[in-house]
Order: sequence, then structure tokens, then C-alpha cells
Amino acid sequence: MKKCSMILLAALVMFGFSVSANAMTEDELEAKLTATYDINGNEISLRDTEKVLVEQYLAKNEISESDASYIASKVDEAIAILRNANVTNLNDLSSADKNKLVALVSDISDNTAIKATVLSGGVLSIQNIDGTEFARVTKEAIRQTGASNILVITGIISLAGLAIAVGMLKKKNA
Amino acid sequence: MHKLKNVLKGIAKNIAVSFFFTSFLVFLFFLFVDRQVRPYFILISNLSYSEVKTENQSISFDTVEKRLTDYPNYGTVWATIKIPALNLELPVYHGDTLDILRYGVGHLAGSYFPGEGGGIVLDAHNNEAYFGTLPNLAFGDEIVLDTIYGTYTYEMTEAKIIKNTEEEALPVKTEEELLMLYTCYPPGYVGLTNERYVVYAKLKGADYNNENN
Repeated sequence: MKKCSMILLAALVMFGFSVSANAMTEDELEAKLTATYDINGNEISLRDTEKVLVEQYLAKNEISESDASYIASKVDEAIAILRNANVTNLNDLSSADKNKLVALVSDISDNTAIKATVLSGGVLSIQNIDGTEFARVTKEAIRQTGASNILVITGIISLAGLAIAVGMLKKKNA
Repeated sequence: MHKLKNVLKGIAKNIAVSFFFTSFLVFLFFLFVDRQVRPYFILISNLSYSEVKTENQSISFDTVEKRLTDYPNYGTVWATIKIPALNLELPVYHGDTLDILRYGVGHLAGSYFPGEGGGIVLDAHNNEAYFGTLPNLAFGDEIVLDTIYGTYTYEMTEAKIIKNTEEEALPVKTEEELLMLYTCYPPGYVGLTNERYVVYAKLKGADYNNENN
């Protein structure tokens, strides 16, 4: 099963959150959000960590019916874009199709209380309804936790400075 | 004109010398002093914990639903991790961006919270002040998460080195609650590495400190 690309993830997360809590039970809602989608014979789903994010987002935020209706209307558009793209690997989506999906996410963000922003490095920042930050989603779940590289950078600069000083002294004494 | 050129040249030279000298001082600071002063930075972070704790004060644990009544906002402190065997006590933030990891332990957004019965993933830098001493932890050693809604005690059961792409080694959908602590491997290594040292710990006991439970 292929895992979602960042753009599809953004789309699914946004669309997942869009379902009206009034229209279905929490269990049904969760089932929909964590479902596996068939796109041209290619099964895709959110990663487990993203499924947990969905659970936690819905537990923390209440989605209004009007917002849900608006976003729901975009779901079919997104699925249609993916199916019409006629690719088996989501990474093979054309730039135009990727832009269409990003535009849908922006549209939802602009017209509903559910906000998400794509930050530098492809990081998706999801906000709570009250405007505070809910989470940041990255492509890789495992972080770089190496010690600070300030030591390396300042060490290199210091060495460069020393080399220049020695060079200048040699030139002066020559 | 020639005089102005000489003045500008002198200024440029002084700036370059100051730049190299400052870099050298920063280099010496991080090489010799950082390790000694780091605990004080952490202490300050812990002091600010009381303020953040107020922000998250309304959060309690629903023992029936086995989930939090609300979730901490990204970047806020929701617990203190205590590892007596390593003499370690650090604030735990929700989220684990590089900015967050400067101040304490990060909690992977999308992993569960203590008590919810799933995988809890925490990560921190690999120097001695953070998780650099994790390899010294022995089986059976206790790890305590003192959260805003209760205290959870875990017991180390396993440790292994994984690749940085092995996300399946950090499962969140688990049959029983599992605490996972990881850091870059080897410990103390500066820069990017493709291996992680992971400690796994199982829940040993919980004490709720919230009236809503």
C-alpha cells in the first residue's frame, strides 16, 4: 500500500476534518478518516501517526455544519483530480494536478474555520479552530536529533580565520 | 579618495577580524562551557513550565474513554520526564521541531499521550544533557512521566538501534501502551546521522492527580 505524498496528505487531512460531526457518529467519522482509498487500483491511506492526529483533532475541535458542507463539496473534486490523473504512483502526479490539490486546500483554508498552511520544507501546519497551532506534519516522522552543529560551523570559521592570519603573516615576513 | 579607500579597507579588516574572533569565542564556549551551563538553561525551561502548566490546566484524563479531555497546543509543555538512573529531569513539549528540541524533549504529534493505551514517542538531542546517556539505561530501570493530569511510571524492556527510515520501529497503534524514547546514534555525534538509539518501556503504574478522573 502506497503512503500518501505530502500534498495528498494535506488534502486527505483537510477533507477528513471536513465531515460534519452532526451528520454521522464519531465512530463513522473516524472510520471515514482512517479509510483506505482506491485510486486507479492503488490503495492509499494516512500513516498511523496521521490517523492519531485525526482522532485528536476531532476530539479537540468542533467542526461547524456550514464548514463541513463547504469542504465536503471539495472532496469529490479532489478524488476526481486524483482519478483523472491516471497515475499509479501519487508522486507521478503532474505539477498541474498537484497545484489543483494545493488550490483546493487553500480554498478550504480561505473559506472555512479550518486552517492549514504549508510551511517551508513541505511542513504542513494545522491550526485549531481557535487559531492556535494544533500540529505540524512532516514527510518523515523520525527527527534528526544530532547535537548542535554550531560547534562545527564556528570551528570551520575559526580555522579559516586562523589560516588567513597565518597566510598574511607569512606574506608579511617574506 | 585614496584616504577613504584606506579607511574602508581598515573597517572591512576590523569586521573580518571581529567575525573570526567571535566565531572562535563561540566555538570555545560550545566546546568547553556548554555542557556545564546547559543544566541551568534546562532549569529555566523547567521554571517556565509552571506558566505553561497553567495554560494546559483544564486538561484532564477521561478514564472511561481513555483519552484526554483536551489536547495541549503545539509547542507547549505538558509533562516532565524523570529518569532516576540517568539523573535526568527534562520538560516534555508537544511537537518535536528543531526549535522545540533546543529546550527539552519533543513529543511526536500523532503519537498518543500517557494513559491512552498506544505508542508514545519522545525524542531529544543526543548530548549528555538530553538523551545522550540513554545507552546507559538498563532493563528494568524506571522512566517517569509527570504529566499535567497524572504521573505514569514505565519500565525499560528493550533497546535497539534503528535506521532513520524505520518508522515501523516506532509504532503508535499498539496493543498495549508503549513508551519509546529515541535519539541520534552514536551519542554525542555532531551533525546528521542515519541511525537512532531507541529505548522501549512498558507501563508499570499510573497515579492520577486530577479531580475529574
